[in-house]
Amino acid sequence: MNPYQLNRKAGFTLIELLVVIAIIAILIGLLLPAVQKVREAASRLQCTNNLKQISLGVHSHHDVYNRFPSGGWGWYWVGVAGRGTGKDQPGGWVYSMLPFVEQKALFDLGGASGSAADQAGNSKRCETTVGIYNCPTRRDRGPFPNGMGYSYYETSPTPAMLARTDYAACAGDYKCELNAGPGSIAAGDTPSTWNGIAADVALMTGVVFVRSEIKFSDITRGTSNTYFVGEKYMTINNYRTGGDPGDNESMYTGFNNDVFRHTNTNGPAQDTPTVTDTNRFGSAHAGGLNMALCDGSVQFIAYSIDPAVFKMQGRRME
Amino acid sequence: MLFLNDTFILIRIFTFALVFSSVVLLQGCGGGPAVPVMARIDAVGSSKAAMDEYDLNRDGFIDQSELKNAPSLKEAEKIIDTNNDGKLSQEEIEQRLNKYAVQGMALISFSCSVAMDGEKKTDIEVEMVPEKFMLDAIKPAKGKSDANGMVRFKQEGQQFEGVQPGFYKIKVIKVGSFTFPARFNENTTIGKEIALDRMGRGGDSFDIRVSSK
Repeated sequence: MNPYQLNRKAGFTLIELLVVIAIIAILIGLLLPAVQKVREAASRLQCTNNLKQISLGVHSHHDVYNRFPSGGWGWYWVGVAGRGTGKDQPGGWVYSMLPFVEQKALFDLGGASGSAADQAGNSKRCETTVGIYNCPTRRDRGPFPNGMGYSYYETSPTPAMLARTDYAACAGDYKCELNAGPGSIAAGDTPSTWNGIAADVALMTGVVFVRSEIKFSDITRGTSNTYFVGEKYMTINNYRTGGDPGDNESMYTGFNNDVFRHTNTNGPAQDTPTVTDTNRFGSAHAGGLNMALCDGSVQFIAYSIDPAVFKMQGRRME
Repeated sequence: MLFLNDTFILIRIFTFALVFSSVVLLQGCGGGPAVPVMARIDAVGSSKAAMDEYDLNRDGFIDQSELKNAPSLKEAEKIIDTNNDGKLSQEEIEQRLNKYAVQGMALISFSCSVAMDGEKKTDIEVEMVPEKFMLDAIKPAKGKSDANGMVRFKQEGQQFEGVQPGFYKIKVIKVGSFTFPARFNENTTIGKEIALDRMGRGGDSFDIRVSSK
């Protein structure tokens, strides 16, 4: 008789155990990517929905004011309540859209009087996040640290945290940032202050840019062919740090590359860990990015789109 | 019945199969463009080379008069000179170069707006040439102006636009068959430090004015 069988007790052998573990591991291996894909599909849908809401908001804005929201002044400025949503508003499109995405109270916070209460209100807004301005595939809504310690006019104290967005309006195919903006509200209200950048502004071909007041009728290439807002490219390593120069301001800032991008780049791109680009559109999604067009539709554009076509789609005119 | 030896072999096979399958399954079969990797800068060697090149009186500092010959160091003077003594030491330059590794960027988008005799012109060739003291750790980047006078710098053979972090001389080479005078070209006085922490608030682009005479 085999001596092994004599002492044999009921139970598993090591091999049986290993086989079971291996089967379970392979099953998990098969399942995990599937679960991840479903999660990503849900997040992408949420992102599409965010852009759709913003697009609808833009149309409501156009219904009320007969023009698109303005792009604001420069990077030293954030939204200042009581100055409308046109060329006199120092804050950018993210601020001006607030009443049309059900955030009227946030829009009205603070003011332009220069009083401590108004400045504190403007500062408080810089830290306040709004869910629809963030793509859930990339990151949660924050707020994120003010990594560069940036301060803004009419804003005190300097915000410790900043709300940031994953979406950028299309400034055309020229530039998505010009300068800091004027040194005071009074200077901004003086027309001659803006002479210095008039030549640059004349080259802006998008629908939202510095002090813009563009109407549907100005979009001669057709609203269904022109981008209004889309996802901005970011460096993966700096999603949460504020270290990406295209993601270091509050999202209520005026005309600069945190909330504006242009299409004169080598097409859009998927986020990478080691390449910083403050001009490009791009996203965290695999394969392509969501772009909202001026007609209110949202399209998923492949990264492989012909850069020349992408460039053209950023222009409101031929 | 299996013997102990066979059991070990089986354990090895299972482990290999597990690791291999999980790697394959989790990574998937997708693949985008190759992501550029960070340049390896020899901070000690480069800072020493910078002193050899620009500290002409060998007093251990690159002072204001010597900085005139080093436009890229001059451009970044305020950020390199951490003790605010108005001159740059080898340690300060070394510390600055070490920052790039912390910032972790391989390429940073950078552009300039070039005007010739006060006018925007297409096809002006501009090149960013790494300073000699960068010891060939980074590559040059080039660009041509578009109709709006914008030049976006890109390295040859690189898919992504952008420039590697480091110190550069900026040379305006030519437009068509016209080669620019040496003061814009070989003996350029335009320098620039490319680093992630200097790109915010307008730091990622600048204006160049050149003349044909």
